[in-house]
Amino acid sequence: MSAAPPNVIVVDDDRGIREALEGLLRSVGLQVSLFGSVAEFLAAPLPARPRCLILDVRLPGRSGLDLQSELAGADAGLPMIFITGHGDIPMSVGAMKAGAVEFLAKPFRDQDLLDAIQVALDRDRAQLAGAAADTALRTRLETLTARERQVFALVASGRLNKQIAGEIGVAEITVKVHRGQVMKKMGARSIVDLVRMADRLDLAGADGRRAP
Amino acid sequence: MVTTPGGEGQRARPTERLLVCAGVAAAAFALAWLSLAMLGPSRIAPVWPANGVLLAALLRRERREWPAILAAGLIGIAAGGLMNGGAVRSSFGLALCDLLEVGLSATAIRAFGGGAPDLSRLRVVAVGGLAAIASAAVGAVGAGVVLDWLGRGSILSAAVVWTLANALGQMTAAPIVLLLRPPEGRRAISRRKLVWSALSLAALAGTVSLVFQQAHYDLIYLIFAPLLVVVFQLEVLGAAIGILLTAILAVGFTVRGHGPMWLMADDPTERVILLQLFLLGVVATNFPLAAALADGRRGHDAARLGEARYRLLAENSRDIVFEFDAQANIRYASAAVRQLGYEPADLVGHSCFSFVHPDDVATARKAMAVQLDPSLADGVVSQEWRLRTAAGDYVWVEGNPAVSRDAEGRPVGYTDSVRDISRRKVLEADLRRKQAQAEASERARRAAEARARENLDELARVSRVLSVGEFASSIAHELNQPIAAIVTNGDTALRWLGNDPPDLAEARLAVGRSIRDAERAAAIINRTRALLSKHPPAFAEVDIDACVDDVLLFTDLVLRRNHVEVRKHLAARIPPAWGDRVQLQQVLLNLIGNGLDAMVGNEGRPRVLDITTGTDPAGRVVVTVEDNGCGLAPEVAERLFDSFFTTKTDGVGLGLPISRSIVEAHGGRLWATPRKGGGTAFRFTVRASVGQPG
Repeated sequence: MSAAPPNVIVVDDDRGIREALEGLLRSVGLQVSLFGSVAEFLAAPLPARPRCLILDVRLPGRSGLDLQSELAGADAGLPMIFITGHGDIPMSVGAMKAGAVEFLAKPFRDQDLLDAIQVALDRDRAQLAGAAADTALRTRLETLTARERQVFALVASGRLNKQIAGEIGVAEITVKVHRGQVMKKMGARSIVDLVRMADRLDLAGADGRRAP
Repeated sequence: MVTTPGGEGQRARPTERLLVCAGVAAAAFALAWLSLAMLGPSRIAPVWPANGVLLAALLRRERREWPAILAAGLIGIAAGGLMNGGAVRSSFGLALCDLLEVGLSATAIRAFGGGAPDLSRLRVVAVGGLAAIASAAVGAVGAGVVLDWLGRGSILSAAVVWTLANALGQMTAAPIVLLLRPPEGRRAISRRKLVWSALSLAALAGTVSLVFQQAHYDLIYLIFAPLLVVVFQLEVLGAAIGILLTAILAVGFTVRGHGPMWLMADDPTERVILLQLFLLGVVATNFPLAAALADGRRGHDAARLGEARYRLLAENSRDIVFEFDAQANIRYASAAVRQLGYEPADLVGHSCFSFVHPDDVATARKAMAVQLDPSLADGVVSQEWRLRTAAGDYVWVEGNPAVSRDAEGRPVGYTDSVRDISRRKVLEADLRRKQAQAEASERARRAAEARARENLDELARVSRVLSVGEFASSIAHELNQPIAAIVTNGDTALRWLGNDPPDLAEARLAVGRSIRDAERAAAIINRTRALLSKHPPAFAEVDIDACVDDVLLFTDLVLRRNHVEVRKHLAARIPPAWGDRVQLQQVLLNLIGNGLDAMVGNEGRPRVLDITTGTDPAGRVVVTVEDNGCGLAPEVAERLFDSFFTTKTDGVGLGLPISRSIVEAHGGRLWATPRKGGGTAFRFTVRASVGQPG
């Protein structure tokens, strides 16, 4: 995809582990940023995407899991791989539920880590891509008139033209014109495509709640 | 006569002294007068008994009384002479000669007689006889001079008669006076003996009278027969009385013109000399004979007394006295042998060893053999063995065998006094048993101490294992880190090597990191193993600062993860402590663990652990571990060092008590004090190694 090499962030308080990971990741051409603690990591700017985080669960100060919930706000979506010396199950389950890519018990084989990193980077890339598509759709939605947006929502909610016309108080033919405009402006190839777009833009739900 | 009590060395009272002198004067006067009166003025007395009385008085009295006695004698003798018509000059002159003679004789007997003038001693008899003759000769010379000066008679004939008369006077009169109260005390004479003695004396008197009234001069020797009978019966007293009696009768008859002397000589002087020689013969045979008899009797008495004493001792002693012949057969056993159940007579003839316990026969034989040949004694010769009683059991006895020898010194047998020492043996056994008990209990005490020490060491080790267990996750994690790093580094190295071309430089770096991490893992294992080691404590010099650093390495992870800041205040120059490094580390580990636990509840407050080392004024090493945690509740502080008291849900409650035991075994003290501003300070001291051996 993009020419920029992926970035892997390592946060571990053990220098031996940090240096070992740095050596391994460098050998497969990944860029690595090393941090000894969460505080250090938070103080530094995040590297460019795609990126992922390798984190020791039991760090001094705020633990890895704390960081996970903390990041969920601001930098949500940063894929995380947990490594730990204590592979206790409740902790790993919690981590996975919170969206961790992988939970690896030390010592781990290089391939397992590299695979996890790949998954994490792919997820970051996908997030990156998904975010781009949403932006385009919203831009197109902005081009709709108020009446067209209203019709778009009602169509997406599965109403018939005649019902729409009755609801908004216009002729059925006018509804058809508006629908054609919406299809054209949003770039929808079919009514199904249009409904999916509305779904992504969360139009139908909002409208649906207003439904009796 | 002289009958005064008291003797040599006893100070006589003045009245008594006066009586003695008066008696002496009276006796001297009577005898002198009698002797002269019997003879008439022109004759010379064949016997002069006044000197004998005087001599006896001198010998019986103290020397300082002599001048008074001699003066009394002078008066008596001189008076006797005067009363018989003698001139004043001759009477006093001759009396002075008598005094000279008696004084010389008494001095000689005192000087050479060897003690009391006891006539039963041959020496006294011999010295007395010689002194009498010699002093009489001196007196005769003196008398000759006096008579010559007065122009009366021949010097020579007068001297011989005088000498014999005076010597006989001493020899006949002095003994009877001396014997009136023998110095060694009167011996009772039995009635039967008294009768026989009286009959013998009567026979003597009869014989002398008969011999002096018949015409055969050779019958004079018959006198010796009854005289000897008297001597044999009464010994010295018999001799004295017999001789006196014979002398009186012989002189009496001769003076009156009877007796053998008249048959043998016509010359009066010659007759007197013959009479004197006869009496001298009587004296010279009978006194020595009496003395010899007394001497023999004394020896016999002494032997009998000794025998009696010996029997008395033997028969009344609790000790059993045995006599054995040369073959160790019993010749005699004392009555005390009845305590063993035997009759003394029944034992005679048996070998003494037949009564000795078979195991002790060798001991008893040796004890007896050593008496014959002392060179056989090698080391201590036991004198103790067991004797069989008539009932068949054995008693412990102590023997004292001694060799008995005949007159030539040849061994003829043994005597042995045997003492029952079973009571002593019981006491000895009791003592030995008590000593053994004491030793055993001492051993048991030492063993118990050693066990207690071992128990403490083992408990300390177990507690250490538990302490280490509390840090087990920390250890596991710490060990896991380098291992994980090693695995990753290994994988990395393989990747670099798998590249085309292989990147050897990067691979080398990765392997280098692996080695470093492996060393780190090894160090962790060594630290842990040291704390878990089962080695007995070994005291040595311990650098307490290094000790603190080691423990901190160990606890580092746990402390950091619990956000505890450790502040070390190590003294610049601190003497090495004397102790067991592992046990001291255990104490530190405990205190750091406790400090950590105390600070877990510090919400919104930094957790700080201060570790300080130094020395106290007594030169001991002091280590303080202070936390700024919750501090100790009073009820907790009280029971802090109680075993199995804990405030932790997963604690055992042995950490502090064992730490205290360890510190006390190191000659130190462990105590806790509240810290200013909250928290607790644990402080312990350890002996410094200065002056310690090794």
